[in-house]
Amino acid sequence: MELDETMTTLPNNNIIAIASGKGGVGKTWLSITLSHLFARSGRRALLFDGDIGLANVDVQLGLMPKKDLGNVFDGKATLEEVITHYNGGFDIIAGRSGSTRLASVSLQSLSRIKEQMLGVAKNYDMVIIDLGAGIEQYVQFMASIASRCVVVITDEPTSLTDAYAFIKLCTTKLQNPNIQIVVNQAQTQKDGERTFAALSKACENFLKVKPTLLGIVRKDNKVRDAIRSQSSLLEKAPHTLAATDAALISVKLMQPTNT
Amino acid sequence: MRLRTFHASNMKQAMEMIREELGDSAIIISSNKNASGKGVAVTVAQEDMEDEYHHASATSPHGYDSQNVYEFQDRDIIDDTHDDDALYTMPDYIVRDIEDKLYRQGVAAEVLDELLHVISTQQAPHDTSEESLHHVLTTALRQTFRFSSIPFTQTGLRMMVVGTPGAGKTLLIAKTAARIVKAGHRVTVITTDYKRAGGVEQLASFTDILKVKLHVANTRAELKALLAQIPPSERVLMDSAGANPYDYQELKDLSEFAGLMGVEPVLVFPAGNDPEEAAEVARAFSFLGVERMCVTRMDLARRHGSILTAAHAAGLAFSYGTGTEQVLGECGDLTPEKLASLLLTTKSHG
Repeated sequence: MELDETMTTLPNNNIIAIASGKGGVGKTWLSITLSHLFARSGRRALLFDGDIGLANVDVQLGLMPKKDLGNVFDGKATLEEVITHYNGGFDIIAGRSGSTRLASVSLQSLSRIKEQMLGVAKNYDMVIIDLGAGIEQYVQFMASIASRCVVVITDEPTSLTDAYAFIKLCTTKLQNPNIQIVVNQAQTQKDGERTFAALSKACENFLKVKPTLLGIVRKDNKVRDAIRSQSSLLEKAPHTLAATDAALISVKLMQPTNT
Repeated sequence: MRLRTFHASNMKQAMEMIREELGDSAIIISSNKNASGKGVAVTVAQEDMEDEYHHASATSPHGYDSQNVYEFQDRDIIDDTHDDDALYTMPDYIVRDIEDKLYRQGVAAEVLDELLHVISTQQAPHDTSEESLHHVLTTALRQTFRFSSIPFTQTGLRMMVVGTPGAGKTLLIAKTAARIVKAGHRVTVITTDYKRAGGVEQLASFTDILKVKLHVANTRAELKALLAQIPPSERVLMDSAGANPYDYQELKDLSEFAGLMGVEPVLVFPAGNDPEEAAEVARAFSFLGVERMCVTRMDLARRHGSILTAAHAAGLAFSYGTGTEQVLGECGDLTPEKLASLLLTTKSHG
């Protein structure tokens, strides 16, 4: 079985992949915050830590899950059995940080995960996959499960080029034109718009695709504080700048027309 | 895709550098003034021919097509990341730069918003040098605040300083008296600050040196009588006891003196307080009919947002500033230019 075969069809589901290309731009933070916001809006939300090699959703939330994705790859548990409930009101499927074995799993395991994932997703209103950084095959595969893809960028040139590489991958290999951009850590709203404009210009000229701007999250030290204290921003500072910006994004994602 | 940022002294030069190094296959994705304020920084993107997805994408409808390489043109200079009228209206980065500096000065949100709004409607400066920023802020301050100097040497001056205890009223009287004497004019000093231990003596130590006559007025009637004896053309400076702005009785006592016909109460206001506190104090004293404020202790403050907040809250005009900082000179009129210099200068401790 070729990896490409499993990714050719355009999925139609409630799964959103959060990608970035470059690491450290706030992907996991956004994934957690959005899941939390969905939950607070009364949605049944599931957060899947798809950053297999260096999973850290559980670390950011200070959780110690008894079971994680590793057990699923071992064949000792089903995806449904490794779901952990976070008391913020949403469910989590944790990865296993630092496991090199998981980073090189077989295609058979991957397609089994995908099957189970689509089944589990039916029990939820919103499912978020926190993708790993980079654009290697595993990330491509995870992205192919989702019907839409949110790409997180910052104003750093490396973030722009890596995000561009990821978008290029989506538009050529995955044939998934549904790309939405979130600019994270923007100094101001206007700065964020400028960063988006730069990426958008490159995409339009070189790839002939026009990504849409989903939202801008302004730089906020409270985010760092929340991550350091291993808790969700919404628990620590629900009304801070970044939380407000993320709430706008969550509202857009929950709109039924936004597919 | 590869990104490169070119730094040049102007846009034309940047375009030439880009053409020379990358030919016409690069596109400009953003252009900005350099962070240093001198020249421009232009970021261009170029699609990498050796890209690992090149072959896959060549057959895709979305893919890279060498026939369709976007050629950048001169219109991109204007059409970069800003609006079409970017050349005429204030660029956002200048507004943000000033916002950042004012924010560090502790300027309260409502004042900040008003100033930034005024700034954003101004015409863009030619460059982002310190002088240009200074000019932008000066113009905005002049539009947002009132500035009214006190003509100390003018005949018929009847100024009474009011303020909180320790604001620097007595020192301001001494400095002003010295200025008038130095200019070769006569001045009379009256104090109503008779209750505080050493209040009269402190002022006397200054007036003795200046050989200026010092009177003490214990009641409204005494002050009224004293003023009546002084020729109308002569300059009179009046010191008062510091009043607690939150104590109604103290303010009322002060108003007995400050409310006299012909006397102008001027608020003496120390720089460097908490902005909210400053606003409350200024509002309290504005009940005395204060129109102008003199800012003291400017050399002891590192954040000057509170004086803007106070003036804004009570609708006071800036008139005089003292402090030993070079930027103000020894002491003198607090003009929009001087205020802008103060606000744009970031000082660290020590």
